[in-house]
Amino acid sequence: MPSRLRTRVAIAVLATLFVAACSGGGQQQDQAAGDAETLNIAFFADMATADPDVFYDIEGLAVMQSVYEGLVRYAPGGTEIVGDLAESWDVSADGLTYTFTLRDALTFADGSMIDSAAIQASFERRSAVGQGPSYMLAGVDSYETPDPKTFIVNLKDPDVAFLHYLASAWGPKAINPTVLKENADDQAQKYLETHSAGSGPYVIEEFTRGTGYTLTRNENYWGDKPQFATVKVAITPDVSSQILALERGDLDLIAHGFPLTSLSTVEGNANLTVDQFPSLGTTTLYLNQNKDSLADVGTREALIRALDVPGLVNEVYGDTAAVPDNAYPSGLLDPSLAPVDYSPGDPSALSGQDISLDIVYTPDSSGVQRRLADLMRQRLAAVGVASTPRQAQLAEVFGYRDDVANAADIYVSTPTPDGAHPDTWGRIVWYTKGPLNFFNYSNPEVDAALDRGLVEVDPDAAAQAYTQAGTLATQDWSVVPIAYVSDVVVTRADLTGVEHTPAYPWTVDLAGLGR
Amino acid sequence: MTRFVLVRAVGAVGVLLALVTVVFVLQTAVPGDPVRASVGVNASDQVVETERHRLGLDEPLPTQYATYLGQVAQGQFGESLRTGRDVRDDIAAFLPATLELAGFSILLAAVGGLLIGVLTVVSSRVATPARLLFVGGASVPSFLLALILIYVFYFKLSWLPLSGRTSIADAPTGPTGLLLLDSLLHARLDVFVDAVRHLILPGVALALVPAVAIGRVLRSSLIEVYRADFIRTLHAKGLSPRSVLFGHALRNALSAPLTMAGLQLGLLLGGVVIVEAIFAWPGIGLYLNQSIEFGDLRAIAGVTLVVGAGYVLVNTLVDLAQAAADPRIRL
Repeated sequence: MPSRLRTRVAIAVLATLFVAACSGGGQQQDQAAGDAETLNIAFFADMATADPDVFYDIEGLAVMQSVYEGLVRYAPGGTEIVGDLAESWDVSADGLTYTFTLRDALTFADGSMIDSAAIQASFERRSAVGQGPSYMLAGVDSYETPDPKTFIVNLKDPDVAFLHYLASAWGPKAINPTVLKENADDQAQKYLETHSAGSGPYVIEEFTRGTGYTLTRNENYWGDKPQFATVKVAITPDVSSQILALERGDLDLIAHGFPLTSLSTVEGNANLTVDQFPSLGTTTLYLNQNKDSLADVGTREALIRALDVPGLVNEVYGDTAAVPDNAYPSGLLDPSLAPVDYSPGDPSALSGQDISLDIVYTPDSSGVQRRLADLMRQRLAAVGVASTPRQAQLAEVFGYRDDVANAADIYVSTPTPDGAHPDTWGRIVWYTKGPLNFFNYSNPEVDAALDRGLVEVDPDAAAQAYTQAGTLATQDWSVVPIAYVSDVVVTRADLTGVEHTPAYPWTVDLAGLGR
Repeated sequence: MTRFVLVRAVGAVGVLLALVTVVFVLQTAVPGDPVRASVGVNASDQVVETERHRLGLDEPLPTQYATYLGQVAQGQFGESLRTGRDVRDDIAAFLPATLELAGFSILLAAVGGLLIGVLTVVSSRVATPARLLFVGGASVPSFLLALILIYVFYFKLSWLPLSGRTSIADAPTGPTGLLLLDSLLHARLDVFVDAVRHLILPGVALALVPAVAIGRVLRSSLIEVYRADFIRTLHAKGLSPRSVLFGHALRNALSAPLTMAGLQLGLLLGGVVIVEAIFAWPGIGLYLNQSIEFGDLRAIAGVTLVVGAGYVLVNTLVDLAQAAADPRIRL
């Protein structure tokens, strides 16, 4: 064969191989789209662990909520607590004893029975493991299991938020005691990193770090079986890739992080549906009152009023967020109690002050906090206040409390409380040394009101205490909620049963979905 | 040769020691509390302090440094704050995917660079479009190219998959972790083809810039060689243009492109962080990306050291390859 011909043949063979390699995929992908048996979702990042007593993140909740169950949970769409594994419960008049009655015929995924002893073992494991979520059971004095269906929790002191911790997305879950016994040397921590041992509608079939997870239907599930036999979770850090996959039908839903600026393009797509659900996520401005420029409460108030919060929220979030009506996240307290007012103030209150602010935000997938910080800079500049927005990692922000004098001036964040109770918010953002009290805000009267509310078993008296805490904190203008954000969920139009619970952020009930 | 390798090995130890020190200083200089970030926002102070003590982060800095050096000397990088696992195990799990992608990309870049370099010298018709490719290719950042490739070949044409290493659920996961190799070892041609299809888009996204760079250097080098007297002599002796090119000119021109390939491999490993995130490629770039977002400095340090060691190793191999290709170079 002449060499020129040989070269051409070689090129033709290579080209054919390339086209053959490329052509196999389209058919495969089209088949995946709209599969009645498989649900495809994506996470932006890996779950660090699937252990329910260690897991304390938001990304990954869809998996955890699908494979584990607690005694109680929040009803879809609201903050009412309903039974999950527990059929009913009773709280003693002194608020110290919680008695739960389990449903009949509950089973773990391996078919073994769930009884009160299994619940006790699970609760005790949470405290023994001692990781982040263990604080929810720190007030427990003892457990009792008088019979297989009755589980009693005795508290050291009354805790009106206790039931909400049990209903929390990160609350204690039932873990199969057989698995705990088989892996007793490390309390099954290694095993549960990548396996499930719960009673939920799905089980973890495969857990591949960096790649994704496969959930399969729990055939022993005591409740209604989910329609999708398989849920595939792909780790896809890039939101653009997620959107293209959704539009192509390779993904069924994007539960968070969808860029708000791109929503208008999706709304014209007949194959996609956009749903907004209320959440407890509350965009909050933390003002560092330890800095000279922000030490005066009048200055802090003037700065917030200069931002024109309603206009700012509308410009950044459109109709996917609302201006807060009170000091707490939406739905935690009657809006008429502890109201907030963001009407514009007199910008001259800032005149003559040489203020230069360092505005820090933590990155989010949709970029909304960056945009918020940018717009804040513009609005503050209009009243003569210089500011510089910059992005910071979470680790940096958590270090502020140890050196508030050198910390940022303003921190923009969208925290979500662990439960739908006022205490789960006030105690983390206002309470002295609260975990999300980044700039060490402290008001002894606020602390006292929160402490009073926590042990007050009379609902009216408790509401009064939380009203006082919220009102006092609002007047200090150090921790300022500026937006009730919705969870924006974009799904394929053929997906049905999309249900969301405000206290379970960034996720929908996978077991309720169908096609 | 032996002396050269020994000198390089000693140099590598120095480079890695410097990297360890820089990374450690960064760990301590960067403000923040990664421990609290790792245990969760509502964790009690007691839980945070217990975790800090367990990780040895409450020790004095010199003690921490000495401990860290000792760990690194044993090939351990400590526990990841994000995953809670040994960073060494995490890297071992994620590295094969990156090696496969980087290997595939550098192969594409080498072949592409060779074609560009040779064709622009031997064919005047190719020279002008090649110049356009040089300018265009060198200007397009890999992340933008990645998005363009995804849009065209995945979204519009449905020719290639979007993300991951394979779509086949029961693809082999060992023994090497290199899916192409493992699929062949298990006689799974379907997995092999699927893995190649998954490699094409991220591979091309990573390879284009290095290919252009290698091609440019090769072209310059070839032009210079063609001006040499010995080439004229070879032509005068009646050797065919192909024999002159492949038998003599190319070999003499390879030194600079090989150096460039070594440098490009280092840059390519940098580009991996972004490209792996876009294509959800489960390699150390993706691992590093997530670790950076979390402020997981032990994981960042571990990856930095492994990549640094890889960079030193590759450049040593490039030097050896140069010596093999050009006898005038003595090591």
